[in-house]
Amino acid sequence: MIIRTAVLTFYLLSFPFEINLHAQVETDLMNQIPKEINGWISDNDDRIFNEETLFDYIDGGAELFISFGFSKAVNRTYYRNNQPDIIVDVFYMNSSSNAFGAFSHSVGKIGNDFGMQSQTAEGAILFWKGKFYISILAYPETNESKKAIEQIAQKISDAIIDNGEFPLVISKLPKDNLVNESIRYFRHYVWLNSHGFISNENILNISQETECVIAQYSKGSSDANLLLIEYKTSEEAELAIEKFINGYDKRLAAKNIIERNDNLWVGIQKLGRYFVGVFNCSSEKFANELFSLARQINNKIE
Amino acid sequence: MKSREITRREFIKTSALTTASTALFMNSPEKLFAQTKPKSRVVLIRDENAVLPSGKTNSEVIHKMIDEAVKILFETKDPQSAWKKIIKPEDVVGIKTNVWNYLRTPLELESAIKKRLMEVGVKEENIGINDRGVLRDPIFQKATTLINARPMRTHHWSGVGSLVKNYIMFVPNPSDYHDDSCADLAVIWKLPIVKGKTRLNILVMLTPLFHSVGPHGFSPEYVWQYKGLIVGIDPVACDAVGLKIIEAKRKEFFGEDKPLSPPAKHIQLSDLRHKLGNADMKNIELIFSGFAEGRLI
Repeated sequence: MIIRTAVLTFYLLSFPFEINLHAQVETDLMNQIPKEINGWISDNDDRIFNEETLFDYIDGGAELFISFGFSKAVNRTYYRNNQPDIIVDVFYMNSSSNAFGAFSHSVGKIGNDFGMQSQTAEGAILFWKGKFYISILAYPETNESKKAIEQIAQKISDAIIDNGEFPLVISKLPKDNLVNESIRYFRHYVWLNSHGFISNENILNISQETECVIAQYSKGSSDANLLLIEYKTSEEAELAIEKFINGYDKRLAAKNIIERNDNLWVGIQKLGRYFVGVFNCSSEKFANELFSLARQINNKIE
Repeated sequence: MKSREITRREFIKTSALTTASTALFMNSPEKLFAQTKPKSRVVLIRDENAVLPSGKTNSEVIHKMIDEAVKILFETKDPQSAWKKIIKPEDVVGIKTNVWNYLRTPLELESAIKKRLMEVGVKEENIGINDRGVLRDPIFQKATTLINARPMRTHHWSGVGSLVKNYIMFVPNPSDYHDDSCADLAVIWKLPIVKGKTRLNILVMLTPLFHSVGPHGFSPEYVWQYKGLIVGIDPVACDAVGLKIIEAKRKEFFGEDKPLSPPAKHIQLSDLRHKLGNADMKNIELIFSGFAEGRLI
């Protein structure tokens, strides 16, 4: 009885503390973003969206964030007379990998003005840092709004202590001839076609349990797309490859690099738990080079 | 996957399985489009003055463009005769517009359509213009005729916001149709509230968005003044033409083939799987009107 009471007391004392700390961490970021900046004021409550309600806010764009693992989004809007509204959206992704993933699929030119990576366009700043994906919009842009959103972006970036990390699978991309801006990380098969058509179906058994990255390579007149998928086990990788060969091109069962009718080359390899695919490759030689580089990196890490 | 959505999505998957063979051919669409079909007539009309230097829509020019487009489409001498071919005075007409903040259906186009409807004899109280509220709108609930009008833009999940996609507001839970990057949006067109009612589709290509960035998808850097309208009875054919233009613009801007991600496969599947219309350009009779510079197609 005494022990039970002690355990219960301990639990009751620690549980609310956990909740408070968790809530404090989550609200701290929004609390550190000023409600007034350069004459813009936000005097309404922040709006909070989850997986169910995000569609009402950004329509089908919500699926992008859901496909990467998203817990909530907080919107704050600033107003100033005779100036565009400033719309700040903070997405709480489930990991820094997910924040990077969502960012990589929703930008054009990548810079590093804010956070880990950013894009600055007319009337917009997008960046990711830690587990957060941040969007700050103000259309149509004015000189004043441009300065204001830059200041907001910097404050948010400074308030996020943890930089976060790039997904580990990205480190397994060969660095030679890699087009850095083309890197796309994903865990939903919809993103397979990010750099050219591969399939409209889930031809490689991609799920939330797999780590996928696709990127472009360019060397002189040679170009290719490299797809790397990490499965939980070597057996899963094997099954995925069988499915791919049957669905994509059965010639790959006999030969790991084939030439398509459009004179571009496609190749696949299994490296332990990894599927390595080369697509839209301009030559067999370049495909082999990429496979060789992928093997070297895989051997080092595994 | 949420439990409330399983029944809806399972239904769609079951329907898809019955036409699984078409999915296998998705890698080689050319083979699949081999057989001849009746061609869909589509008008692409452009006017250099459609968009003012301020970026606003030129109302007078939009009226002229839609008049000219229907004349060409229905091969009549005047626009009123064209409208009479598809509208009766006793019709109850819903104009399905699109009010997306950043790139909405121009009000000038809505008013041009409404004006011609009333000239044909439709009572003003029998004309409704709506987007997100169509299911609660009494006009749309009893509509005998629909006019579908929206701008084309890129979209983070469906590839493009299209005429086919514009009817997603006719279902209570639009996200039920997001599965597989909105592959089966055409199923909505078979629902009783819309089936067989659409008399005209207008894909607005005045200032299309050709690349999406950020959660809201819009950036003025990826909008250009194409100054066109694509008009037809077949929404799939109109969307196919618009998609070609968007793809060409992306290639021109980025200097390389930059496919939409995800691809706008719902347009092709609207044809191959759901037989809603023609997505293959070989089955589209495309008629140009207006200036040719920068047409991209």
